[in-house]
Amino acid sequence: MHPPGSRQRRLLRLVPVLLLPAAFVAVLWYALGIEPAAPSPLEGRVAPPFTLRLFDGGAVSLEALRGQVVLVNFWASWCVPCRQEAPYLEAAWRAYRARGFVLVGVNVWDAETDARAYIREFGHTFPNGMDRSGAIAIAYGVRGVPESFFIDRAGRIARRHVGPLTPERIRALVEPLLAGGRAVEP
Amino acid sequence: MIVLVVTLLLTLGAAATGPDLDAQVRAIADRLMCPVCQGRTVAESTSALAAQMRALIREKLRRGETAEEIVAYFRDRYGDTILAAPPREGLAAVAWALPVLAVAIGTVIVGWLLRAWTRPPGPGSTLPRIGMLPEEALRRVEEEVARLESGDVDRSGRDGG
Amino acid sequence: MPEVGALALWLALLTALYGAAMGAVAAVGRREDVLASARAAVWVVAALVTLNLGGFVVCVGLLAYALYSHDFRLAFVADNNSRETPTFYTLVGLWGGQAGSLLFWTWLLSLYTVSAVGHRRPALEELQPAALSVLLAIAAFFLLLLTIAENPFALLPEPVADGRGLNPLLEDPGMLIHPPLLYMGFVGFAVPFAFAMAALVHRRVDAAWLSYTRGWTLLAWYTLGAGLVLGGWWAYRVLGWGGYWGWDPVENSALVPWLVATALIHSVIVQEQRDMLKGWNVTLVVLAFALSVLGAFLTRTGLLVSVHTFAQSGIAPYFLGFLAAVLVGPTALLVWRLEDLRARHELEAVLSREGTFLLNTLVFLAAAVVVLMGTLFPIVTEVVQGIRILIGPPYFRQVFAPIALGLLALMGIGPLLPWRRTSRRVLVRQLRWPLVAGAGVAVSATILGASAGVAAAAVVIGFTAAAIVQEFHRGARSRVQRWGEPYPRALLALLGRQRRRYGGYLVHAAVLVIAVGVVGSQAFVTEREGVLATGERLEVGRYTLIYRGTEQEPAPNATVTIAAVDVLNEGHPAGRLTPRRRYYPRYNQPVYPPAIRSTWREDLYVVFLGLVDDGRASFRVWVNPLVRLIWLGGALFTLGTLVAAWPDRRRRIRTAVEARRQAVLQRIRELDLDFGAGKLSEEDYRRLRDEAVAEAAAFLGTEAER
Repeated sequence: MHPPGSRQRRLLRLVPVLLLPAAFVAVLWYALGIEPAAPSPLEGRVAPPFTLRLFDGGAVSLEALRGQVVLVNFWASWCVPCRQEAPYLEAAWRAYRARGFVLVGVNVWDAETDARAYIREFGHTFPNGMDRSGAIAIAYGVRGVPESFFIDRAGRIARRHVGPLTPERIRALVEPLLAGGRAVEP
Repeated sequence: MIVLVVTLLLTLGAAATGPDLDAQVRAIADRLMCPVCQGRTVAESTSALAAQMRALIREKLRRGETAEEIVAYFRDRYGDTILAAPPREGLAAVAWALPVLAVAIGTVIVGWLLRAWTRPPGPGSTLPRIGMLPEEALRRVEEEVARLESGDVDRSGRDGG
Repeated sequence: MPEVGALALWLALLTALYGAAMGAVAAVGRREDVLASARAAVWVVAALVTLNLGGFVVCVGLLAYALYSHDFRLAFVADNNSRETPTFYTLVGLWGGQAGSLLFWTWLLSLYTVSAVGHRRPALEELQPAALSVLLAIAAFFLLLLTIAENPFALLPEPVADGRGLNPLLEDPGMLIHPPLLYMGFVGFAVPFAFAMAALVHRRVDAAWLSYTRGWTLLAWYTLGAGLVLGGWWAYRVLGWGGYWGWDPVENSALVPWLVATALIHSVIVQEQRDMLKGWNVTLVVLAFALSVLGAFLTRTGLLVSVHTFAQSGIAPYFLGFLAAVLVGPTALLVWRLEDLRARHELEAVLSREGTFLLNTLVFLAAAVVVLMGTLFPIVTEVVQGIRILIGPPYFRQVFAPIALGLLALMGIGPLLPWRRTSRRVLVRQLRWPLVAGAGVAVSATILGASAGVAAAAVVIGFTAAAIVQEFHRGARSRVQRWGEPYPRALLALLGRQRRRYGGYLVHAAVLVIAVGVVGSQAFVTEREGVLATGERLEVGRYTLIYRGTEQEPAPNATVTIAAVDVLNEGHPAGRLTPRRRYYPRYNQPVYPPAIRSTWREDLYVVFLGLVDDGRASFRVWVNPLVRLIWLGGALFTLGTLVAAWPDRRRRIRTAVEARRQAVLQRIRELDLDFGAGKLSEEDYRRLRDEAVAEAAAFLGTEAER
């Protein structure tokens, strides 16, 4: 039906046309295996200053904590993963505070009574306050709770951690900073 | 249809007022993606974070910041991923080039096809000519067409096939 | 009981595989062993498909029973249901979860398969075995997912006391119809796809497969379109963000195949009338189906939402393999058969209806490409750069709006041009009034202070509206002159006698009505946010809202707070609105069902965000002009599709020859109509009609000889 050369010619024509769908599927396949990164543009920069009114009265200002290692932890009472890390936070506060470490809890998107009950439930003794307007959370580019920022003695953000913290993770991040480690500037 | 157009015009007239603070907030909030939602802008989102972001935008506007400054602030804190429309630089610029490219390639293809397919009607046609066919066949065609038009039940197709 | 369901699925898989193989054997065997054995195979396979169907019905029935009786041993039931879920919505749980929606999907596909190839159709005798094989292969893929990767009858190691419950956002009547409609659309393209493959394999890309699959294409296209409109309606009434369309990946992945299908149903007309664009049509069918699969892949595997859902579900690799097969196989076949797809007729002039149809196809494809690329862009940047650069609604609005305007303009111009070519005199006569109308609307809009974008939309909408009105008017006038009918009856007769064309125009009008609603609600929205103490007021456009206080309402699975708001319309009392905040403790998810005061002019849309710490109430209020037109457009879209797709007894096509006969006769009729509506000069009409009659006579002649 076709001249003998025709089959070969059709096969040749086939190759470039098939490359496109094949490449498309390959890209999707590759994308399936990637873990999406959510880098914070704030790492290595000076931590945005804030003053937080605390639940037990008084206020804490980040600038006043310069010279200490600061862990700023954003949380909410309804957040399930926050409950996972809650005991470790109190433990870290007790373990490191004598060595120049401050833990500041910033409660966001919450009701005050719930927040206070949560603090009582976990016996949190570190400074804790409510960010009513969300201005602090926005200044830190917070996308959800829990989210934690590790700030070096010079007041720069060394690392942002998304999700619940573990004791190992806290130790791995806090110890070098306590030993005088600095945030890597961008 | 005409009523429609008139309604549109009436609405136009009613809404033609200057941009107030709420409209400015909305315009800026619409340029930012809500960080805690899937695919909603800060203007659309019902989340607490988005509400706080809108309040912050309002406050910054009251303090006299420009729209560009406010958007730059959010971009500074959240990175490029907060922008609802990708920036027109770097890799993201590709997103803006793509539609132009798609339309351009499409136009080239259509132009090429039109050139390739367009032939002036001429005697070179291989179709049968009306003069070559018997009168009776032509009459039959006219009958069939008339039958289609008047809506008679078309039986010939069933027993003729 | 669950064991029986799982067993039924395995049986169905084996049956489908067997049937697909038999279909392929029948398709190949037909060439050597003539018709008899193949026909027998068709019947055998049809019986097997029916068996499949029975199996599916049992599965779906079992699942519905498991949901209803809250049997929390089944993992699927525990994930999508709870003791608190209202009984009415246990049904929604069927398609709320992964396995349930896959099962429902497979069930629809099996129904379609039975309907398409379960019976002998003389017109399609040749194509049926191959089409059947393709359809059953697709069904086998979904059954494979159901048996291996996502078994709906999977048992939990231990029964749990209560399930996780249904996502509260899904507790809405709209959710009962919206997802099934989308699935019907996605699945519906499988039938045209299967027949297109069969037509390519057997080298019969002619009028027969096209006229048969037209109904299926229309069904899929309509259900997808209606699903999109209903989805918007659901979002508007439930989600409480003041809008109806968010350009999110789920919506986009249904919009893309719909755009391609719209290009297809137009392009098909050109093949029927002019024997052109055969290759286009096959390509578009393949694309529509492949994009449906891609849409299912993107939404069902959660690739666009988060990688973690993929890790949990595990169906992604299978889906990707299937997508590769659907893209690569047909493309290869298409290229292989390129010689058969050459046009019989050639294009006479660019300014003709086929010219605008061609352009129309391309602009629709461009629109689909733009939406698809925007949706996939985060994946691309992730692969290239490691971060997801999101593409939000503003991007889509900016890029899609000009393309949509182009499509609306083509919708006005296309029908005004005759087939083959246009003389300048006819062109002027056809475009005169629509152009005047467009210009008039634009000038008034500009005087009233519209922005450039709105003025551009106004030109196009005015032009196309006038073009549609003119088409109806001239069509009716031509009938009055020819048959002496009274004018109103002539108008109705257009819808009755020329269903496809005038039903199509009704759909065009529906699109235009939706366009007016979209432009109105996008460009002229007013929005206010306010925190009010009892008795305080909030001004929004013409309305004043007075907050009267809240009360709690008992609900089984949520805390519901109802706010009472009195509305003043230009100072006059206009009733009370009661927006709610439903809080679901189980999910820590608040839902804000809005209270809407809807008129044709505008919607007053009030959302109650909740009480703030000092007891005041927080509100968001929108005035959305002309939103009702969008739902009206949806209804008109349904009406138009019904008119266009209503089966025509007189033109029932039973054989391939009959399909061809209808096509040649219909061409003469189109010419008469176009001439009657003033689209052709006397000279062109005579010449073209003589040609068409000659062709028809020659065809009827050969038919008679047989």
